[in-house]
Amino acid sequence: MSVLKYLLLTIATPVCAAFAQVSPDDGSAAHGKGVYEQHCLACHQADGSGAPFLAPPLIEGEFVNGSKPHLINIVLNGMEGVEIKGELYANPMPAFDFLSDRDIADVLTFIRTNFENAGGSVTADDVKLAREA
Amino acid sequence: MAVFPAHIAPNALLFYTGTMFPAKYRNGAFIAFHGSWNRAPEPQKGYFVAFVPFRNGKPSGEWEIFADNFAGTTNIEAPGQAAHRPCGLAQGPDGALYVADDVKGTIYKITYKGR
Repeated sequence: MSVLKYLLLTIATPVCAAFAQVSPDDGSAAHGKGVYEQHCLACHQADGSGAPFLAPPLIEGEFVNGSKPHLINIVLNGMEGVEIKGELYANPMPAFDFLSDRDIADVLTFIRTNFENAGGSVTADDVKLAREA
Repeated sequence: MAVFPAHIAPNALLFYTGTMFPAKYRNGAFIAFHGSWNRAPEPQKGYFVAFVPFRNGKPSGEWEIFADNFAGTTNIEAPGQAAHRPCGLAQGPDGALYVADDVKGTIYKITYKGR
């Protein structure tokens, strides 16, 4: 096999990161951190700084600290090709509508109260309302 | 065949035809590795230029890191922490190797003066 073919295979290797399962009995911040590590960290990174040109940073995030329904809908529906602070981020974010209302509420609470954000908490009822809208 | 660690992101490939570098580099392949962003929970990796020796059009030995430390630090947890990331390669008419970085737009020129 040529070097070039192998390089292409390397590029195409899917992300396959295994993280510890999340216990639903933790407090909401700890639970949200676990959801983040399992579903978000591979792209948005441990420090929330994202991946340049691919996945937007969550640090001091306009969307992160902004409207709760808007933020919840990003998680429920995914997103693609977003410009943030003058930089374009091109990787598609898949829909995470398979997560429970509580998982989504807790992970959003986690990112809104970490990574230099001060957006405050999101509740499972907020997520339920957005899902039904 | 040459085998590399996963996710380290080869961005550019250049077969060296110059005569400035020592003979072992002639017709071998330089590869610019942009560095990973999705190796979690492992630390990120790459951010270097590798060399694969060739003989008669086929790889003839183990690949090696030719130029390293573009990132400026060894323990990269997130790709945004890398100061520079190799993304392009070019060979000058004199046989110098140029490496382009896409974090700050730096161009590195690598030359060899012999003994």
